[in-house]
Amino acid sequence: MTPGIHLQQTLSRTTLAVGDEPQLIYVLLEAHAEGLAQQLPKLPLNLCLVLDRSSSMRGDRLMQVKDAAARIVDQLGQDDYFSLVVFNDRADVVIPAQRAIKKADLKAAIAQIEAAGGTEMAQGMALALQEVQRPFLTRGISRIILLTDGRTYGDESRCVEIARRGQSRGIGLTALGIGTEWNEDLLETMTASENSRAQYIATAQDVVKVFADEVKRLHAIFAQQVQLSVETRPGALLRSLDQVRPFIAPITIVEEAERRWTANLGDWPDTGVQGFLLEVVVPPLSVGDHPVLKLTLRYHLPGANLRDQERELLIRASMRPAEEVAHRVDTTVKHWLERLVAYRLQANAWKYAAEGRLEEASERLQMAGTRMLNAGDAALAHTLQQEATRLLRNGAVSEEGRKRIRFGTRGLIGPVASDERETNT
Amino acid sequence: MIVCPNCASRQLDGTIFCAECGAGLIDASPPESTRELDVGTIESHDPLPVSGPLPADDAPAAHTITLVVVSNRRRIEVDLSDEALIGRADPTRGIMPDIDLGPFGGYDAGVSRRHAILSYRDGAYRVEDLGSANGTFVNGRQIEPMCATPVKHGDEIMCGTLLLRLETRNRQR
Repeated sequence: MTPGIHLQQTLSRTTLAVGDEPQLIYVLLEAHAEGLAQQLPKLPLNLCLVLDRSSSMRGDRLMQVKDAAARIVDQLGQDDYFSLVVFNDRADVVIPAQRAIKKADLKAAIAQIEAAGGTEMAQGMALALQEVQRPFLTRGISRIILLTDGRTYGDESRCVEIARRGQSRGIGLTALGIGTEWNEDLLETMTASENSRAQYIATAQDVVKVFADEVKRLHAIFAQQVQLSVETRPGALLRSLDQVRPFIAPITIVEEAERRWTANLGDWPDTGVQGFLLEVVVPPLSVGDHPVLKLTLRYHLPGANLRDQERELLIRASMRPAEEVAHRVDTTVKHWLERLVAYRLQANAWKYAAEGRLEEASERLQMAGTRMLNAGDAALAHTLQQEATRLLRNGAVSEEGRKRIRFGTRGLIGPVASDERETNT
Repeated sequence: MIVCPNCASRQLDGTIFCAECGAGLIDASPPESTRELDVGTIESHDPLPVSGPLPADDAPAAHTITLVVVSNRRRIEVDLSDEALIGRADPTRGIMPDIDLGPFGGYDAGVSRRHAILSYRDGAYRVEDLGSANGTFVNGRQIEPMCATPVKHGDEIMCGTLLLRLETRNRQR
């Protein structure tokens, strides 16, 4: 079998009733690696770690982070590059970009980091971008991993600008917030791009696992520059496209031509499943099976020296007379939709809250709780409920509650649950 | 088109969750038409802002109490003489609670068929969880199952994730 990406579709309903109104159908698109030889050669990794060493990191937090950084060094191979930048009121390159060969020296440098001072992130990001661009890689994966526990003041827009500059050159950013003081709006804005994400680390003990998981995931990347294009039949409409597995993320879709949309999906590891949910408006159609969408996935497989690979998937709506149509909804589609709806509801809640419309905001959080309860996350449902009540009573939610909700509804409170192939419905 | 029972917005056929308010649109089957609504009838739709001041105490011995569904401000008026079962009607199993939360999104919110008992004895109101799947909370705190917990005017009782506010002092009787 040629190596590639396997695509699988599940529709919310197997049949649709014929009628004279447009209808909504949900398409779950799941993708995983197939036909890979035992092990494709690993792509070299070029990793820069940017660590906040402000005084609030003192104690257990910094100890755990240093331990986690040292373990990353252990995970890296001889072809991988590593650099380390720290920042407080100023930024320093602790380890300039180099191959991870003299591991004892690298770890000794990590051990000497001490916490003091304030938080000025942009300086750190600028140095990180400089270091990560030093190695010349004909192929490989360049990433910045940022960890912070505080708020940076006055240089937020520079942080975003530096992150964007890196992302435009294919350098992804993983931004990790630890504790409750950091600015989740900033980290989410900085990571609103492919190959990037923000994640919430609730307790310092989780840092080691989060770092290790991230390096493992980066080492498992086999497909790069994955791009999805969606073509619809006349009258049909792609209403939304969101990632739902391994975590929830809105995806930017660009309407390239009449009835054709494309989205950049970044680099994919060969472990686990990538899942996407599409909302498609189907126009009134006659009895029969009608093609509604054509999905085309394009990607490179650098490990196998294959470029511009393509997989296609045609999605058909099966129209039947109303009396023959079963109204059952696919439970897997419903499960992922339920989580996505919870994520959207909380996002709307913050917008309402910012406008001072607290009742609407509280209702959205409440309903998000209902959705999470049905999706099987009782703990998060309870947090949503508590914060909905708190918002109505006190006019504000707690900092921790807000972070738990924003990142919990996306599945991004670390360590992130493993994304097994089996769905957990 | 489907009209969302929770927020009355219009949604495309086939919609599973309302795009406006997130309510489930497929499990919300209409309440059984044969059900007798002698208690727990829906009296009015939207009279009272939830965050506003509580109504004044002018009917001390009244046994008609109100449960306000906080999310949509609908009011469930209950004639409470002794005790009332809170739950979700299931005619096939013969479960007909006095206070049926089915029409208020009870299924979605994880309300059990037999969820809790609301009682009034010796001038005091109590709520008792009947070992429901998703629990009962009073003012945000989960109460022990099978243990009658005192509640008073203005308290919030949450069944699963459905938040209700108890009003024992009615404005008009």
